[in-house]
Amino acid sequence: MKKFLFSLRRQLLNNRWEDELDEEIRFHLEMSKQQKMKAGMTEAAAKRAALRDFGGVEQYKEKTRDAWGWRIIRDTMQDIRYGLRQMWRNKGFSTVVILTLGLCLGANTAAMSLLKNLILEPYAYKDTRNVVLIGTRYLKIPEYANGISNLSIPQFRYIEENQTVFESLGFIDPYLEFDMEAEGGLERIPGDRVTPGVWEATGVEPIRGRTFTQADLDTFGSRVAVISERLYRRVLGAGQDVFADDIRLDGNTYKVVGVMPESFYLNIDRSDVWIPRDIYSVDAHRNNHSYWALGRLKAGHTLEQASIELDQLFKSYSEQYPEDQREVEVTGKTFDGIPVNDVVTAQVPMIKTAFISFQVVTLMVLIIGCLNVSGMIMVRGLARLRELAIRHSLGAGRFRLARQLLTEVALLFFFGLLVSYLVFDGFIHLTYVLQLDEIPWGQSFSLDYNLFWLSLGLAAVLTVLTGSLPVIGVLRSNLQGLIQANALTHSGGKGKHRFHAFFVMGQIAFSTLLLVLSGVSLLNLRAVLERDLGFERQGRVGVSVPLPSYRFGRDQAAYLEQKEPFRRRALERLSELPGVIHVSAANRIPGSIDDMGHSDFTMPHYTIGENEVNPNALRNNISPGFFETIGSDIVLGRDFADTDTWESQKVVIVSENVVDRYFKDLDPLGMQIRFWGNDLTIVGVVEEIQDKPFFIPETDFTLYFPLSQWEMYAYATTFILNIQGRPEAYIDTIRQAMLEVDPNLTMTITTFEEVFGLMVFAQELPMQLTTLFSVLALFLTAIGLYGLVSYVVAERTREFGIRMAIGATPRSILSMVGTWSIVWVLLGLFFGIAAGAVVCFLLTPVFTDINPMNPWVFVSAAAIIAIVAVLASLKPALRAVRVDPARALRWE
Amino acid sequence: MAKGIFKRKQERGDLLQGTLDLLILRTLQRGAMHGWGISQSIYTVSQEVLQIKEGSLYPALHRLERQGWIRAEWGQSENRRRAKFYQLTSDGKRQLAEETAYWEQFARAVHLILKMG
Repeated sequence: MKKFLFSLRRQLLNNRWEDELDEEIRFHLEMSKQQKMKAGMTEAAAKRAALRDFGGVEQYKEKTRDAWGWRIIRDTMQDIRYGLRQMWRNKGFSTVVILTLGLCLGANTAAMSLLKNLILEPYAYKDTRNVVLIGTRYLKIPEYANGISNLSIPQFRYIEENQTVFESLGFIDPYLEFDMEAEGGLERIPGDRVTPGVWEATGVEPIRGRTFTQADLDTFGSRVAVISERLYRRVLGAGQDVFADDIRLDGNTYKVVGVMPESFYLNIDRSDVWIPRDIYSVDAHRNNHSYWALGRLKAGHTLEQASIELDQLFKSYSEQYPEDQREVEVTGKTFDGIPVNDVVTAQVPMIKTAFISFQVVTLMVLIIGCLNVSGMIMVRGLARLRELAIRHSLGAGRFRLARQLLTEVALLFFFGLLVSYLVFDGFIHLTYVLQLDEIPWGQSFSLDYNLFWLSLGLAAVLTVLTGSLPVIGVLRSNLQGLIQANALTHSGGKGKHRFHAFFVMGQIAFSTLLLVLSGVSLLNLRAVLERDLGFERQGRVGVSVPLPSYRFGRDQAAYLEQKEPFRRRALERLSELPGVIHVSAANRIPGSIDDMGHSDFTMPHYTIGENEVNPNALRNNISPGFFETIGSDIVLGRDFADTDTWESQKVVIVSENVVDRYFKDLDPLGMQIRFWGNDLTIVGVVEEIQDKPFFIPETDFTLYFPLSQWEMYAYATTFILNIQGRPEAYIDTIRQAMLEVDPNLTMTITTFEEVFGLMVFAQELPMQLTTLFSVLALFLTAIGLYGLVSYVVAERTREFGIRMAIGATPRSILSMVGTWSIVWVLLGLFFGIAAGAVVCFLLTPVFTDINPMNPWVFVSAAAIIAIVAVLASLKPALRAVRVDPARALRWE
Repeated sequence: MAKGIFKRKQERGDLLQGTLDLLILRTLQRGAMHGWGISQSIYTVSQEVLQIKEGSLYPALHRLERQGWIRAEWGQSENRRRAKFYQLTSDGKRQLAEETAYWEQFARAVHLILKMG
């Protein structure tokens, strides 16, 4: 310890210590010289002799420094100082390396964080691995076999009573909305109803207060609520103490007991409030499958065990209902669970594809960047061999020099890291620009440090592997010999150029590949955007209004007295607005992610085959004039009319694909469909529309029912308007008009364009990202090429000078440099195009709307690369031509 | 490659490892001395046999200082110049005794071997 402190003091007094050592040695030499002069030598001879007797001054100084233990600290400090000086001296080089590293690492970390937050680990519960989403699985229906479908209340209760593998089990009634009384009037907030088991299953601690328990339900009779951090802040912002004041939801008073953190959500949508759901005292409908269950596996129990038990439970459960046996048989229906974090990848495989493509793209950019950095560091290191050799001869050890080179690389990395953090931050902002925050569950992106280090490690390995070539060179080479042969400037360059050029070629190949990919996804997106949706989106807007039972009642009388008159008044008021062309009402916006549940239908004339299942209906309840409003054509028959009422014959309009599939040679008009126990007469056929986002597998048939015959079951209505001009400009007017009809309304106004944005999300995102990243890649490649050609030209300046001195023309010099770089560019293009062809071939199924082997994409990619290559090498190549022979020969 | 990295040239005529330390310590037993003085003393006392590279004295002096066996102080030399004087510490004296004993034992052993019939 004492020794260490001693060393440390020395270290701090470093400069003084160096001075003292100098003085000590100077004194020695002086004494030696004087002694020799006394013996009769001249002063000069005595000085020489003194130095000879002493030996190498610097060498012994170095050894004396070594005698002290703090050498490593001091050397490192010195290396860092020296490295910083080097960086400053080569500002251009350092900037490029640091920016390259920063861009690549930042982009890659952002990509990986996105992927992780959105797709791979969307839920952050306690020990999320053990949390399982439980539902039904249809093993024999390919579209559903990977995912999990909803449960009914009796099913949940059966599982809860009989299971042994889960330590806790929670029930979720998801995607609800409540009217909350707030300062400025009513506010519509999203929420879920849950059983207390959900809190145990997720294990997430509230940030304030507590969650509710069964005891609360016994005391407060279900009138307790847990709210989100977001709502908490908003309410607090309004100056209310949520714990003291109760909140009012749908006209009822709830006592707030806790606040859940921002990162907590139960379904793939953000809720602001969780209130209890009583599933035991109610008479639950057996066929209402709209619920989820979350279970936490007992310690030591595996998912397989849970799967097996759930399967057995389903068997015993379904024995109670022999009438379901056929459906169970055909669909392969059973209970099953998947880890909650696999939900997104299992339910929406197309989103997974989109994000993996993003990941691959950023990885390629990372490789390009690393090739760039490696190439530059390597070439610079080799270029400095001469300087290193000189320093070696002055007494610097080989390890010392090697360590110093590594310190310089580490410094570049350090600054690259700082920049990458900024870049990461920028990308996070970009995700908002790209509206990734519209993905409901992806609202908080944070830097995942593990991923950050992973990216860094990846880049470090790649770069150090190649960047250490000069270090190895230093350790191995005959440094002394290098000086003597003066070999460094004139020969031995071919090999390193080839290496460097190889890297640049790699970059060109990867850039070409990326350009091809972005071209293909651009074309694909264009094709998707041009797809006929079957309806118009320009000038269309949806106004979604809840019809909560606390205000509108829930039976038929309530419908006739409340909901129907309200709808008529609203339609009338909206149609009076200036600029409104058509108005109608529906239960959802076509193409939106809102899903009114899967219900199957049958047709008396059609007997389903042995292994066939009943078709599922995507249920649209609409008012007369709906098709006119959305610009969809009725192909056959008629629209609904005011004469279609609760009392009249139940009618249905089907989509063209229903006719194509089930009514091939028949006239469907007047034929029957059986749905929810009703016989419906087909009165019309409309053109098929894209009724769900593109990334959701299309398996359902769109059926249209008149609101007037079904709306008594509805808790919400969406008014649809066709407006002249930009619908955004009308939003306030619409809101005002609706409040005139009912001052207590809450509403959500969505343009069809916004809905469309989510519809094409899985196509648009890969396109935007590949394009962005291919621009980045192109930029990096240009830098790489520029660096290569500049370096080669600088190294061969002397040679060019000689050639020009003996009569070479500028043109011939230019062609020498040009030919050399063109060969490498062509090689890169060749490999890039070849790889692009292979990748496009493999991705054919992903690009749904075009043939990805489009020759124009390849030609344009090659052309862009060629242009960039010419531009990047033009400047340095011209520098070669401008070489002044006289100066060049002096170049040392 | 590794061999190449670690290869070190052995300087001919190097003193036995540790011997220089012993010589320095013994010389300093006579009193505080600067580097030049030590080198001259070793040279003359050994009847001009032990010629060490003068420079190699300094790494050794600093090593000994770090071990705590000698202590350094700046003072004035005989020709009124500033010089760094080294002197033995009590630890150094103990070390000298130990090393001297060891050396004598060693020399006796070598002597016996050389003398054997």
